[in-house]
Amino acid sequence: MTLRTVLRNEWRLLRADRALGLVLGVFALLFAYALANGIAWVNFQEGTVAAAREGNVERVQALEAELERIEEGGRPSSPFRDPRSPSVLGGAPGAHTAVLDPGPLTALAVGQTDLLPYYYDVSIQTNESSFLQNGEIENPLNLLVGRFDLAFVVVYLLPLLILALSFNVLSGEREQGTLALTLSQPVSVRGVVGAKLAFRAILVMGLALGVSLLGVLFTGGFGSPGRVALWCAAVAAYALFWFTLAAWVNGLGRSSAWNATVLVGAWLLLVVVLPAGVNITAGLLHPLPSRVEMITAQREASNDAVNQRSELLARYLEDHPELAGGVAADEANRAALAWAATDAVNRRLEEVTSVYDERLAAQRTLVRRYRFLSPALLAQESLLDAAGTGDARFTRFRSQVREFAEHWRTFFVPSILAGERMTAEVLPGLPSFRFVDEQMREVTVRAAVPLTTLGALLVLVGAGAVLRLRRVTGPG
Amino acid sequence: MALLGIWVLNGLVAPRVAVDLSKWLHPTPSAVEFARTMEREIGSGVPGIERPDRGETTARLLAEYGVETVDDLPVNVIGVYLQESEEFANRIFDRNYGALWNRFERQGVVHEALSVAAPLLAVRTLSMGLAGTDVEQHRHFATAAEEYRRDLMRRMNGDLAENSRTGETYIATADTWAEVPPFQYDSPSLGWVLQNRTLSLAMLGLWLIGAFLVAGSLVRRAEVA
Repeated sequence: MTLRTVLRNEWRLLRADRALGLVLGVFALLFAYALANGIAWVNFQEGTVAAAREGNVERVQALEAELERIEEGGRPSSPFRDPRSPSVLGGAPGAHTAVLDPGPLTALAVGQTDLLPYYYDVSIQTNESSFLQNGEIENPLNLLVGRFDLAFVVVYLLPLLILALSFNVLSGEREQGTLALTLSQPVSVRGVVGAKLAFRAILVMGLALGVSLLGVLFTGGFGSPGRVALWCAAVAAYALFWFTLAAWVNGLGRSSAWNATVLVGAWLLLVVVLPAGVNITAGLLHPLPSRVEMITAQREASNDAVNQRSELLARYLEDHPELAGGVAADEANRAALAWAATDAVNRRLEEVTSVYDERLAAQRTLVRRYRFLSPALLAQESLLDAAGTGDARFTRFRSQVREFAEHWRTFFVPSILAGERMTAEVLPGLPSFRFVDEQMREVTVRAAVPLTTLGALLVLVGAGAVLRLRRVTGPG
Repeated sequence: MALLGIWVLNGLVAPRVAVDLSKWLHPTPSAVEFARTMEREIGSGVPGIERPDRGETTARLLAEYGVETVDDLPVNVIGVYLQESEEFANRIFDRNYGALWNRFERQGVVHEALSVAAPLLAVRTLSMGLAGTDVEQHRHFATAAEEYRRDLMRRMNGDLAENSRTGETYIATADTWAEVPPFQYDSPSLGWVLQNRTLSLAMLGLWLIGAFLVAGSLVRRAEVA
């Protein structure tokens, strides 16, 4: 009896088994549904990004029209929003929206994109509190639950399909009394179990990878083949982990019911309990400061700053001689005084947010340390990172927006301090944001850690399974 | 395996399906879109909610008090105009935020209705309601806070209008602030909370009765066999 015979017979058995066919059908539906959902989300995000870009163009056009009208002798539409003033042109009325295009594989893993902002309005008022704002408008109830995307199906549900297909590959044969007959042929137990699992693995991974590639095809993600390869590697490693675990448990030689209980227990522990436990522990050990603290600090700093503006300006000019351009604090204009106050508030906010950032970093370190406890956490991390919807890409976006905000300030502040007026001629030269995506090499290096660990786990459990199966000789 | 399947569908799949279904049935605007709508409507008003015009306000006040010039008015036109702008903006806020809150609540109804297939959804909305953390109670609080803000603005603009003349630089005294009552919030009663959750209660009741009936009939049949 060759491997081919086993595979052919398995195919026949599967076609005869209504229940298994039903389970596979349900999973095919779940996969398709998850993919459709992911694609819908990408379309929504792309629409938003396009609207934000359009907003940038429209704002500049409106300012241009108004500036030209004023140059021809017209009056500004509001005395508080005179675009000739650099603190207005560089402030909210002239703000530039910095956007992050959806990651190349967002349709496969929504990840944190529904939680973290993927666009920020950058102006001279941008400060650390701007980065704590909420992202998309979303029902809190919906945010609580999360999305039904392909990553969710792969991490949470796929193991169940694998276990349902393979919890009794060996025990079932024994219980039906077919094991003795099979082993009377020139095959080993390992060979039979291996062939049966290989057949199931081809089915399951074919389904998971097929739907993934279909999603990539629909959303043009083949532009980053490296990410697609990483995604496929993570799906394959994670799925194989569960297959080898099933092989190992089967090798223990107990009943099918016992196998099912143990494997479902493992799923519950590794996929549901441990990840939740790690997240709860991180939150308990390093709680984030409340937003109220932030608002109070901002208000107190503003009050203090307004009362000592000229002093602050003098200090500011001393600290930033490159922006001062010969302006002296005692002959400063109102906008310069206001800017000095704003800058002082920003400094204070940086102190408050640094506490927040530290706690968040501590939480992340803890999660990163304990992710090794659960293959589900490892797989989730690799999948999100491959899709570009994990922490890394957002952190990169935020730091580039920070740099851009600094660039924006250096563009306007010298004019504010010097009390200059702006004309329509500055508009084409306004700083404009462009996200520089990370190199594939960086993604690979980062994803290598969880993927290698997952691979090592796979080898470990696989070796255990081979050793156990070698000892199984036959019924009895 | 069958029980596990039910548990997975109930606990893992159904909540997420409810999210998608609720968003599909009652879509919410993107933040960018929402902000642009607000900006546009605040800028030029909508039919039925016209943006106040300072010139018109002045003319109306002049006619009301029967005087010729702004200087003869016993009130500060700016104060009156600011309050009118405030009320205009409030109506635009109510229109947009009200619609958004209503959508959130209707999305919540989808979650509750789906508990016909997954009782977890009913248990969750019910426990959130009882813990005081559901969307409705958040809205209740937010509305109270917004009411407080509006009262504060009314007082300040009224103070400016009544105690100064147009064009004057007016600085309010500490007494003006002392008159502002502190914010006091009364959380809604249990009856109010449960009234919002009647659908969840009914669904849980149905599940309870249904489970009893099914179990009862199956056990009876098992006895016969």
